[in-house]
Amino acid sequence: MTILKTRCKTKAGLSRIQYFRTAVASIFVAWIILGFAPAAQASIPVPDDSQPADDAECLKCHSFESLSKTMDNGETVSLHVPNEMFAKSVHSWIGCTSCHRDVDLSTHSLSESRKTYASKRERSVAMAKICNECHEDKSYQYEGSIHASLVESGNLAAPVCTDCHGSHTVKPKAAYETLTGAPCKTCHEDIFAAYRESMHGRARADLGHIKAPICADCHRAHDVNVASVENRLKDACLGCHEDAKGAHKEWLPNAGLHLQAVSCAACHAPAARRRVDLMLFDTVAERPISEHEIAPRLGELTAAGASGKDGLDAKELWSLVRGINRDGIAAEVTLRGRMEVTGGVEAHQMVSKDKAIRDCESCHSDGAEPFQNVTVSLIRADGKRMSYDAEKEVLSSALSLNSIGGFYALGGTRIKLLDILLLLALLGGASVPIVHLTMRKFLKKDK
Amino acid sequence: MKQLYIHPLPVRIWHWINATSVMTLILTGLQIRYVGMVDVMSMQLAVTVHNWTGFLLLGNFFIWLALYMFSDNIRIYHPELNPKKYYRESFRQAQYYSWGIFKGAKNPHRVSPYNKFNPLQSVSYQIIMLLVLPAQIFTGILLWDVERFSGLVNFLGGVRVVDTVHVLVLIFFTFFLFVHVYLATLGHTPAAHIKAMFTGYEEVEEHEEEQKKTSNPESKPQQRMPVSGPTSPLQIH
Repeated sequence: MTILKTRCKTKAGLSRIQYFRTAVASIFVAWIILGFAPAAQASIPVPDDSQPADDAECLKCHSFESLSKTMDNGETVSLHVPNEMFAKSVHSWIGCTSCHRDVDLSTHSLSESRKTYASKRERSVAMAKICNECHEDKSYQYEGSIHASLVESGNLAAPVCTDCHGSHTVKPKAAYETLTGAPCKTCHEDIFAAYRESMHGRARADLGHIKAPICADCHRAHDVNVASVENRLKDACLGCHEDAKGAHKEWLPNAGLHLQAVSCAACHAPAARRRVDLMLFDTVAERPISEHEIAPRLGELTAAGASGKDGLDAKELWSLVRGINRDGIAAEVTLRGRMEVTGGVEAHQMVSKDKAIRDCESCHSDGAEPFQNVTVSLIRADGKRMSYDAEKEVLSSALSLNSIGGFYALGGTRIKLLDILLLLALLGGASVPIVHLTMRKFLKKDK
Repeated sequence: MKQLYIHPLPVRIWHWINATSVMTLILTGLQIRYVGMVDVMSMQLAVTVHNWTGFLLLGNFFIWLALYMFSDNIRIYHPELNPKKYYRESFRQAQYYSWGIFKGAKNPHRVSPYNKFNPLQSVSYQIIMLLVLPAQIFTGILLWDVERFSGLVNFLGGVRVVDTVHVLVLIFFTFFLFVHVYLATLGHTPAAHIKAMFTGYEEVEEHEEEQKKTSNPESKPQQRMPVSGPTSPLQIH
């Protein structure tokens, strides 16, 4: 009510002369300010006291807490606008009609003019599109996010603008850089709890390091995406840890390859369970293959899991990759392997670097834990990754030479056929002198 | 017995550097591949030793190339340019190893400085030095820094393919070493050839040498013997 009171006093309490003087003085002051202000700022609307008069009209009704509306499915949505909260929001100066510009006061109270929605959620999703009109850049970023893809695919639980920012209580950007976990925690509570206990969470909350990342620093605020699909998360890590590549090179052979094929969390979250994900990848276009691109062959992926086995075997995998390449879906498709942690919670259990996995043997030995769990994945229409189980033997089969040519971990994913050949070479090599010597001795005696 | 200077000092040094490197590479290679089953040293140390030894072998390979390919000494690998004769001699040599030796027959090959390899040795060493070892060095370099050579690695089908070739050559060398060492014991005494690789002098029966000279005066290797000049690294003493 603060805004309304101020406005009423201004309009009613001043005489015409006073009003004229004030107006001239305001124009003069505004001219000086605009004249000296940077050019860029001149184009930005500046909040002032001249709030739209319509707000008072709106609040005549919408200040009542009991005001509500019933959706088609029977749900009730409150139409109450908490004015004090709105007054504190960053949108207080633009007024009601800036967003609700389709409202016509002359017909607003008539039941025929009221919009109907199937549910509360559908209403929120529809209303959130209004934000696009001013925040075009953020809206564009959001459109490419996993959240937007989920909404588009019909998942009404996925967040829209107002789920994170609120509808009438939009706060400044700084309000989201707190350790309360809001708004991400609303949906990702378990992940936030893991983050809070991680070295990043502790550094920020307990040690007060403001540079320690919070959700949006790695996942971004609006173009949120599946972090493990591409190199985005790794880039986020290296964005702060600029010296990480050099530091790894000092002790880790093939450091570049490790950083490419192993997610940071696989070593820096030692408590996490790990797995190998083989992603169908277009090596020419440098992008993952989407589900719709291989629609005719999706059956091959799903059938293997349904047949009671542990998943796709090496022959099926080889046949799948060969089939996709034969179909000409992409210039060249292969399976790009990457060692990852098994879940989102585990991906956030990062520890300090002195506690990270450093011994080669934890991966590069026969039967190592990360190679016991293998998945084959592609990207769904909503941008999310879809994983299908594969047998762990695919990593050590000679048939995978072509299909998983790009992924190989010394010791851990040895091709068994080569082990047999080496054994034969040892036995054969040793038997040459033994047999030859025996024959020399035997035939000489015979002679 | 006549002492014949067959292996000049540079060749002997080259041979033992090569032998030590190959053995080190095989052993560290097995340690890298079979971590857990073999625990002689840590994987990190094994990789470091493997990489450094690999570069030593690479350097040694180019020394060999310079010693033989770009000098007169190439004739050691090609004493016989007549293919028919070459095949006939190869067959005779194989016959000796697979049967004649059991019956006490004489080795058909007569050692001399410019004809020190029998035909089977000659062909197998050439295949190894010009095909197998370069393949191993090449794949080894790619695996040493996969990111740096990612274009080539991907062109060849990926790191798994490159590693498979590397391991296949390892398997070949493992087998070859048994045969190589065993054949080295087939001199007039079991240690004769091995000793010669340290001293440089091979013991040959004198009368046979003389006989060969008189009975086969047009033998090319014999004619070439005096060619070696004072600047040659394989100078005959």
